[in-house]
Amino acid sequence: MRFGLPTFFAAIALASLVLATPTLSAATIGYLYIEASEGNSSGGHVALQFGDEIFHFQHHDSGLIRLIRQDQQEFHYQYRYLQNRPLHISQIAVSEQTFDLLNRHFKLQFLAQEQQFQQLHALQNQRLLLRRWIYLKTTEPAFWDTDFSKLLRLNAVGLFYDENALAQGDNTHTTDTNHTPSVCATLMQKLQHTVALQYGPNYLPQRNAQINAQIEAFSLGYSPLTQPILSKDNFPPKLDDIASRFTDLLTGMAAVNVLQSAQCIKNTALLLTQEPLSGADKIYLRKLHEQLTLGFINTLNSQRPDWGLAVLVNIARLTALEQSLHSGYWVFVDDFGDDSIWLTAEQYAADAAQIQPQIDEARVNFNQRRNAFSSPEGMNETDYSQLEMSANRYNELLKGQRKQRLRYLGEKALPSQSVALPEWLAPKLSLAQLTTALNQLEHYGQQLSQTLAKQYRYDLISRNCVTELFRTINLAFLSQDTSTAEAPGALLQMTLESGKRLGAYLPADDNVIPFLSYKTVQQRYTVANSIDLNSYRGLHLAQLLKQNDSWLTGIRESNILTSTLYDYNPDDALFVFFTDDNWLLRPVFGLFNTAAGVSQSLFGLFSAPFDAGKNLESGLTGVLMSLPELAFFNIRKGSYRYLPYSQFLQDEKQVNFD
Amino acid sequence: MNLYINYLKQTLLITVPLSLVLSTSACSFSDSSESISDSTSSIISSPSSISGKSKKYQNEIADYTMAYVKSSKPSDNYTNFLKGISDIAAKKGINNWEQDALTYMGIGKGLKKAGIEGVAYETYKDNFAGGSAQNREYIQNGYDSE
Repeated sequence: MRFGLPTFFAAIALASLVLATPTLSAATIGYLYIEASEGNSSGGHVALQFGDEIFHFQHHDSGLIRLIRQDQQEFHYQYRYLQNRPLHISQIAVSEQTFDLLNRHFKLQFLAQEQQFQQLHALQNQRLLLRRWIYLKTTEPAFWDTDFSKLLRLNAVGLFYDENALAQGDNTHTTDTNHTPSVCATLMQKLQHTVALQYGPNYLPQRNAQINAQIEAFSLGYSPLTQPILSKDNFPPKLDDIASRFTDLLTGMAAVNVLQSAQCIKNTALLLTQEPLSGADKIYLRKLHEQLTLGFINTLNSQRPDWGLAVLVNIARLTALEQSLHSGYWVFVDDFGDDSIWLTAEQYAADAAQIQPQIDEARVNFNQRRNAFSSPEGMNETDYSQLEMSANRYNELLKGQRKQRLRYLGEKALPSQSVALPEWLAPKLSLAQLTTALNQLEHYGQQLSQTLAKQYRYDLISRNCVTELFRTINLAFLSQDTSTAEAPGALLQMTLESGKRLGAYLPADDNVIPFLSYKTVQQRYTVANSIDLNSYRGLHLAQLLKQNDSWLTGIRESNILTSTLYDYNPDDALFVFFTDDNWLLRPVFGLFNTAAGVSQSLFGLFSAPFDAGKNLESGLTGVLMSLPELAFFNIRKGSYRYLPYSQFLQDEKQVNFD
Repeated sequence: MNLYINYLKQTLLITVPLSLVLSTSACSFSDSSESISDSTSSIISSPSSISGKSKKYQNEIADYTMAYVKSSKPSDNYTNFLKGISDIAAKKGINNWEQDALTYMGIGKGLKKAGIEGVAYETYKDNFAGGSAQNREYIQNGYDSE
């Protein structure tokens, strides 16, 4: 029996029709469209939601486009509140099987990318380390990298030592530890005693000698050239990360030194609050003390490569607990990272009214955490970390009221203050060994960079957040033995599977513009329901108008000068009128906004020598954002820098209640 | 009126193409020094409770384990794996993750998700449990629960 081509295509068409009938839906996947805004994405943005996880592609300044995974609430807070952009969701009805298939595929793609870029980052650190070791042997200036001490650091060691304390091999006591020496000395004695009881009296000197020997005999077990750069699932092969291995060794050595020399935590690494402990707090603090002591003793002899860091964090936190119990007031470890974002006293003063709700929120949050701490369920390590973060945030924000500069963002869930990698501790490796390893590594690094650039290069039309979302969806429908979309039969497979599972096959190359892609999804996929969610300003403006629907309210809220819902954010280009909610008057308002942009640009021309062209750039952006308004298009929404997260949570509750 | 129509025509001629260019410049942009996610994570982490953090931790460990075993062999050196667990735990404020049963249950779930069975499963289980019978049991519980 023979079939001609027409019969073949007819059979496919028939099969497509049958398979395109949506399967019984049991779950939904959200297709999210976020309206345009100035700066971040003037053409809008799209994302896909599985449960409370959202996946989307973000364009990075490296010129690459990367898959991001975010918590639903975090995503909404950022886009709808801080960026003030309305969001639209189309719920695609799918079977449980399709939901799992797509969710798993997106997760794997995300994890694979994470691993790829982590490896690239690790290769850069290894290159820096090898080059520095070569420099130390040759003093050849070509091997000196100025960013070495910025990038290669020992995390948590900075809680105990100053930046340069380890630089010359002088790791004896630092002077900045005079807060309550007796508390610290007693704790360190207790810890030394516990170690001796558990592992023997010579454990610490032996461990120190063992680490020194490991440093001396440090090997470069690096042979990536025999392996492919990326595997079928896009996971790069496992490599021996010498930079990570070496910094872990030195961090371990620092931890043993802290214990051996009873080195106290730095005064500046502790946060002493004015918040008194209750009787219940003390009981739970003692329980936590027991937990952390057990953690300390276990991590000291653990197989995990970062055991040194874990030991240092445990000692730091135990010190804070001891100090709390001793003083009767809460004491925490400073958990701000080295990359924290600072506000000067002047910046704080200028925005004090906007920051105040954040201080109030931090205060409420700290109290909530404290109350949870003394609840009958008690507290685990995660809860304590959150209490520590909330205490740090609240007390840091209060510095502004005392006219001090402050870290506005940057708390870490675990304290991590770091110091630069000390150079005098280097392994005994020959110049030839180092040079060979560096050459191998650079060759592999170049290959990996090129491969990643080829796979993830951003392109305005052919490879943006919309195209990549559809490309990823479609690839999920390929069978295990079909590796790429270009493989024979792949297109047919994707077309049939997508039709069967989602109602249609939407090619990546045909979907480029966020707004249009949202419309296409609504028309072609099995969309069961669509939801429109307002931005922060839109939501509150609607509430105001509901309470007082007068033209006066409308006029008052239409511009940045009299609006009660928006204070000018210097991150936005200067404008006068909001045009997102005034379709009819948009061109007229646009004229004023264009004039504001032109004025700022002219001012920027003169102020450029003094503000590095900031006003000029902002003014030109303002003009660019205003011109579309003349033709009834809106991009700019106005954004918020200091909107509290509690505002978002409160509004969400209100909306759900309504 | 004619004046306004002419004005509108002219502005449309200029602004429509411009708007089209702008409207196609899709996607959120993030600079590497400060991703949008990083910039607000501490605000979001600190305030009011977000329920199910333990479950999230367990699921993240499971996903990471699934991804890891897909790109490794049971006999591989698993130091890198432990480092990855530390990174996930650190973001959740868990320093002593070896004392946390959720870690090992997450590993068990991940092994099941990756479809690991038989001898390969036993080998992974032994390696990841670090010689602890209790941890082996947690891994098994996680595996069975998936």
